[in-house]
Amino acid sequence: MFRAVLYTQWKWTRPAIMLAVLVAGYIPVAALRAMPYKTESTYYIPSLYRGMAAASTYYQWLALFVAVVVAISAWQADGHRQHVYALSLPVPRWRFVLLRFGAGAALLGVVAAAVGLFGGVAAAIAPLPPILHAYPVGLAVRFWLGSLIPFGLIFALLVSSPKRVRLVVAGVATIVVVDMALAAMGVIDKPVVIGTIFDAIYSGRGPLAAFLSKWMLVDV
Amino acid sequence: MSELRLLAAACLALACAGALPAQQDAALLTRRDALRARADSLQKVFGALDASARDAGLTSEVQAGTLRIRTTTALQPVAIAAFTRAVTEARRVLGADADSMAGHLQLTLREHRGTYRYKWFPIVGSVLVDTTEHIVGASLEGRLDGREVPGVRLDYPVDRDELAASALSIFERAIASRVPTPMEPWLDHRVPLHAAQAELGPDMFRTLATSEAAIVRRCAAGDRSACRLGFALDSVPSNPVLAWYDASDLPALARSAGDHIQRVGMTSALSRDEQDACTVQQQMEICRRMVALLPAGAFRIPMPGAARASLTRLAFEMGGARGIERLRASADTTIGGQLAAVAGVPADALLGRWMEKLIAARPSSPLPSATFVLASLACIMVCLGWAMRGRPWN
Repeated sequence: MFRAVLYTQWKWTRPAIMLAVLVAGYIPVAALRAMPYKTESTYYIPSLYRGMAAASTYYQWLALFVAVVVAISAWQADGHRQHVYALSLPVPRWRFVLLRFGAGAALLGVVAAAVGLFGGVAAAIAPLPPILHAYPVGLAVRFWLGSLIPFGLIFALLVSSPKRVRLVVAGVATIVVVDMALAAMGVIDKPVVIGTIFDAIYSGRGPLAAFLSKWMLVDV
Repeated sequence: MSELRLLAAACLALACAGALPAQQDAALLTRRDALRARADSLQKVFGALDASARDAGLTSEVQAGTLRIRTTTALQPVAIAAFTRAVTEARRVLGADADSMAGHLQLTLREHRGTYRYKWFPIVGSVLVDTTEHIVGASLEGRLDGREVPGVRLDYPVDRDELAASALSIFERAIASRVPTPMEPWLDHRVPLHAAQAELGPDMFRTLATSEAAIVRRCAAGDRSACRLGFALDSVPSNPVLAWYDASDLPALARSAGDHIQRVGMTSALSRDEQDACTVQQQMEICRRMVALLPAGAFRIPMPGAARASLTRLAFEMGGARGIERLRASADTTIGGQLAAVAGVPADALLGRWMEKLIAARPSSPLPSATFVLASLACIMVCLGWAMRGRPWN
């Protein structure tokens, strides 16, 4: 059953996955080629490190892009057909959702593996200075975990009951509007809810903590 | 005779006519001086009244350990708690010296009043509007044996942690003013009491290993003599460029060394194209010419301030009590000599211990940290649980 689900999702997301794999191969090559002050034998360490920090942002954007595409693709066809196919299958609903999630995670794993592989090959060819090392496996794990977070969030949103989603959105919107009204009336100095939500999401232990650290292919 | 009288009268009239403006000038000057004297006296009175007004509401001196504090009744509890914490933090580095130094320091925590406040408007954001008088902020001022130490402005209501950190900053500068040269400027005019600012952690190793000075990178790689040179423990080298930098560092050095005034000579001597030939095309000959045009003062000690702070903290930790006394007694020696006096061991031994700690701080595992993995997995599990309960057809 898992193979069938995986194959279907692969067919739906193939162009995006292939593009992501190509970009995963291009990022380390571009980062390692474009170093200013590179000599034939080695790199200038500060420039190389800055370049790798910039490449870290590209990896994060790639993870976000591929996660969004895979999550939307997982439920797009079902959504068009009112979930009739999924409901007609002889498996419990929770198991079907789990299979879809697993297939999406596996597809993200393919891109993460490409990130690790291409990063490893590029770093092996490049004449890195002795104090710097390539960490393709660590990068691939970060990429996979990092991409699973936005994937999980969008996946859960798409598969939720529309009523529940509407309820949550309406609840959050009400709180934000009340907060802004209180600030405009001078009861509080400035709106606190948006800032608090933002802080909670982006704090060190928040759900997007993965995107706060650098995803370095080459580090000390 | 009458003609003679007429002539004399005319001469007198002319003389008076010349003297009149002079008399007017003298009167103006006298009036100006009188006004100046009055303005000066008013200035003095204003200063005294202003000081009294600023001190209005302050309680008499209270003690937090050996530290003397003046503040308002409302701020007194938070001030005592924060300052006691600051002295405890200082004691971790200086031992009992912290208490004796605190005895010379007087801190004043004031409330500031104003007739404005920020009001938030949708789309526009926060705007300053007039309102009734209320407390708009606070400030912490310090005096060491009667001499002013630069103060800190604080938000109101005053946060205890922020106040403790501010008190510690004033304490750092106050103690540094007692530290002899060459150590005082080497420490950037503050004795490192904040633990977080001198932490020998992975970030410090990363900063040193990717520094724009070759000598610092070699230090991070484990070269002790490079560390000694990078910290300028013996003296600042006569040719800092040769001692501290590699040829590969020159383009970055030519681009960023020195302040605007120090770079004037270089920018006026070389055209934009010539400068680009160094900074963009990396022509080393041009880079050498550019760097040679910079004055010696443009090349600061390449070891970052946090690294110097961490070495100093380590020296105080190793040396134990009376470190400040030993430091003051070791004036007129090198930085290495002063640090050795504080640590109670030779400078090389101190540097060796610091390097051990630095190498131990090197990020060991390339894999994501446990926090990263746990936060990610927790988020994924919550999403999955939510998704499994979903009924999208409803």
